[in-house]
Amino acid sequence: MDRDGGTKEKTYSTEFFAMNTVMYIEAVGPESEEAVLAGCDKIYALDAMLSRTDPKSEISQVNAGAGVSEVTVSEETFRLLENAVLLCEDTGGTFDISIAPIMDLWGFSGSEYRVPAAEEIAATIGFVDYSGLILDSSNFGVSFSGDGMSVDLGAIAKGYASDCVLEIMKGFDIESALINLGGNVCVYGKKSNGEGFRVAIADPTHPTTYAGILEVSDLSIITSGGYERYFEKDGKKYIHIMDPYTGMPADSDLLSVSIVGPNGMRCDALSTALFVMGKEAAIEYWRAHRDFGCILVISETEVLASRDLEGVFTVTDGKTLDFFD
Amino acid sequence: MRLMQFPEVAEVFMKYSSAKLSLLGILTALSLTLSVLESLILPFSVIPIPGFRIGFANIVILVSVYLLGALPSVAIVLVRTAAVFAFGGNLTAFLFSLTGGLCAVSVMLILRNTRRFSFFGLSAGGAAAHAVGQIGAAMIITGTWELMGYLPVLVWISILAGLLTATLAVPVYKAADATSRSRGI
Amino acid sequence: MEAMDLSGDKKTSDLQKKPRYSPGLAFCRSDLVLVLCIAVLALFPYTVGKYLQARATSEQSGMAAVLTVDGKEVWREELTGLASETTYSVEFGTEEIVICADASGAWVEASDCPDQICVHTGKLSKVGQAAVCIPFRVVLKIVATNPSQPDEVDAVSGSCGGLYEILFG
Repeated sequence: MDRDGGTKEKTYSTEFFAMNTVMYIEAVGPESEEAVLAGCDKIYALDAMLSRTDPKSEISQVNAGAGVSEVTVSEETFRLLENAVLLCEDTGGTFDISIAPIMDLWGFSGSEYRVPAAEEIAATIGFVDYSGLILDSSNFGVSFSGDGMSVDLGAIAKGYASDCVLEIMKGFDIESALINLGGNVCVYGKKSNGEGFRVAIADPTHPTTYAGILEVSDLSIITSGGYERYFEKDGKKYIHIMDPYTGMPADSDLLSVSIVGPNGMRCDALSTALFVMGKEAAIEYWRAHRDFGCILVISETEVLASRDLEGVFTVTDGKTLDFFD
Repeated sequence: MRLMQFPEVAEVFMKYSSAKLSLLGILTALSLTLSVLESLILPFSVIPIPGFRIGFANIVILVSVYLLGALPSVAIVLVRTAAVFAFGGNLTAFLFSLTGGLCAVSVMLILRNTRRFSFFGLSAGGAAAHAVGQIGAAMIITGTWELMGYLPVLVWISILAGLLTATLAVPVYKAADATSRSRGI
Repeated sequence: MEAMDLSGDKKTSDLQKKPRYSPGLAFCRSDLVLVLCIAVLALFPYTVGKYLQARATSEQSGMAAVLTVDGKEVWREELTGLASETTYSVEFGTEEIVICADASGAWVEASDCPDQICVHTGKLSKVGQAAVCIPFRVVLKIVATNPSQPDEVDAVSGSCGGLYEILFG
């Protein structure tokens, strides 16, 4: 490939399939190709480490054995679990990685969707409790307080992956990067024309169009909403975001939640948690922390956003935007 | 053959004498050989369609539309295309050859029936139809209308190829004709 | 079987039933007319295409490279004013196709397909030109655009985009 020609800036991008979705990584700079490919490798490695469908992955081994005896994991997985548990505490359990048994019950782990009976949910909901996850930092051992527990990191895997990929890419000589992991977007640096990246928020009612556009740099923008994955049975719609308290799909008054912040994993967890919390609790949570940006799509025409996003976020024609403080 | 138990099939076969049937077999084999030889000699990267060729195999079709008739000619095209594919082909090349070949033989039959054209007209028309059939199939399969840009050049080359094929077919026809007359078919 | 019976009876009646076609074996005037007609008709799609291309190009002043898979657009890069060489690669399972673009055009840099026709097509620099990879059903083409599009975004959060629909239907 003839790359010379005096162009200091080279753009390299790639699109591939991992973690059950489409991944896109792009970088601009002299080492853009090396950076993107290194990011690519990291994602494949993380997929192998965290996938619940691969029985050889560390998480699968934890789910298989930790209910009985301690399972040792790598330091990276251990730290990830530690941080995940902190996020569970921070969100009051609306984000809970031990939700896996409930997800299995509804068939969201495979694709055999089903509506479980109330008794089944009642019998399984007892296993959903992140405090049952016992972490021993002396030997990176993981165990569950009860057999029947299992964890699913799907709600933060892509956010965590984008953080890892960004760290790796920053180690190369690049000017800017854009990472889009199945709709989890992370941008770094500014575009070649000096402007920040324009990231749109998908309109939950018409996902091929936009609800609004953000102009940002050096941040992650992660959106959760029931419109992405769901199944319908007997005329009712069951979304894939579970409420850890009820064991059923979250009955939220929000159509989608977008979190804007520097840490991808936290944004990912918060987007799920705030969706489960619903509008009032989500706004309260933001007021208690104020260290991230928050966009709530209420209806086909109404959008709410946190005050810190004023000036960088605009909605598309036909929608109203109100800020909350 | 079990097929002969079906009266319709037997009827079709009965219309042809065994001499004609053996001529059919020989021509099919000849057509296949020419097809394979041609793809060995000419790399197709010259024209960017897989399966595109000068069409020496059409020499056989030209002869057969006069000597054997419509149905056997179509049969030769089908068998030849299927055999080339079975010998290690490319599915896309097979589809394009099939559409091209069928278009070619249809056009040749139509032109033959007007009784106004010689070998050369039939061959040129058939070759052009072959090219159009191939590009048409490619446009439909890939959904790109931009491929139409290839049509003019392709058709002109096909016309020339068709004229060449006809020239080569003349002695073949003369020989086959003489032989078949002597055999009384 | 009766088909094996070569007795004269069957043969002569056959000959009488079906009129025998005798081909002219020399190039005659009708042939020439036919050939010329075909040659002229073949020009038709070309001229139509060129006209459309010219009209499209004059209305818009920019051009962009567009990559489609199975007819659906998965990648678009505005070429006018593109500052640097851009590379984009897509993976289909274990196979990959790599596209490059700069301000003057776009081309298929590499592909894992057996034919390599797409790679041999070379650089596309005019609106309407295309490189096709038939085994992957991928088309790279140059389209005319209006370069000052205010609503262009770099990414969409909360949606997987075109390739997702193609992979998952």
